[in-house]
Amino acid sequence: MDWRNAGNFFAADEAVPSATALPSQLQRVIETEHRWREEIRALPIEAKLQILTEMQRWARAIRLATGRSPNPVWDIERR
Amino acid sequence: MEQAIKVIHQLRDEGLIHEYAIGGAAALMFYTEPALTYDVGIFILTENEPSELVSLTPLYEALKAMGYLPRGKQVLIAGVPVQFIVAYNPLVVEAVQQAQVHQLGEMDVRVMTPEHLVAIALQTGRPKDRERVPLLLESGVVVQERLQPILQRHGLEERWQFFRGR
Repeated sequence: MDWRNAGNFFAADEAVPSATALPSQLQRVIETEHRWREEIRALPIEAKLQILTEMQRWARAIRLATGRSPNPVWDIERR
Repeated sequence: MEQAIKVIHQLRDEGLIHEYAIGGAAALMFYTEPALTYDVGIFILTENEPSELVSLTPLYEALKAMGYLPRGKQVLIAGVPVQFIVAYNPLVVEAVQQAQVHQLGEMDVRVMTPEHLVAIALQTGRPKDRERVPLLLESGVVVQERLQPILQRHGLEERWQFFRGR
């Protein structure tokens, strides 16, 4: 990568070899992630809310473990 | 979540807000994968003229009367922190006016369009907002024919070109 593009995420992307040139294991990882993301996008909003609250739980655990104040976790079931 | 939307509809029915739309990271979920956020951004229109100062006191008083107390910039409504943001410029006003109606359980909920979410992210320019643009673009939900006029109307074409060219 050209040093002048250091820190430029999009320029760095262009320097990445094409997926076909990657080792097959890495290619499988990329393809799996791509497929998972597509599946998540297609989920109903209620399922995405469940995922979001799981993300919030993890974020809270990390914040607490690193001595910071906890973030809120939505109570999406409350009526 | 549905309960929070129900409360917002009640505020609208009582005339405390004229119209609303979900924006920010919470709106993304309706179009693409979830992004970590801790509150629901509710952008509101009031009856005031755009040049007038808007007080949210009546809104907060009504919420307090319902038992929902403010916590810093947010109000915890039925387990969900909600942040009320008065539509602060012509782009955000348009985004609220032209919001799409989505279904959340039994509720109809107004959500900013993906094109307006992209335009607002470009306008605010914060890193966390800019990160949302690729998520929307990758999902294929942004219609160029709808995005371009919005960018033109609000003087964001240059920022868009810059973003695309990076």
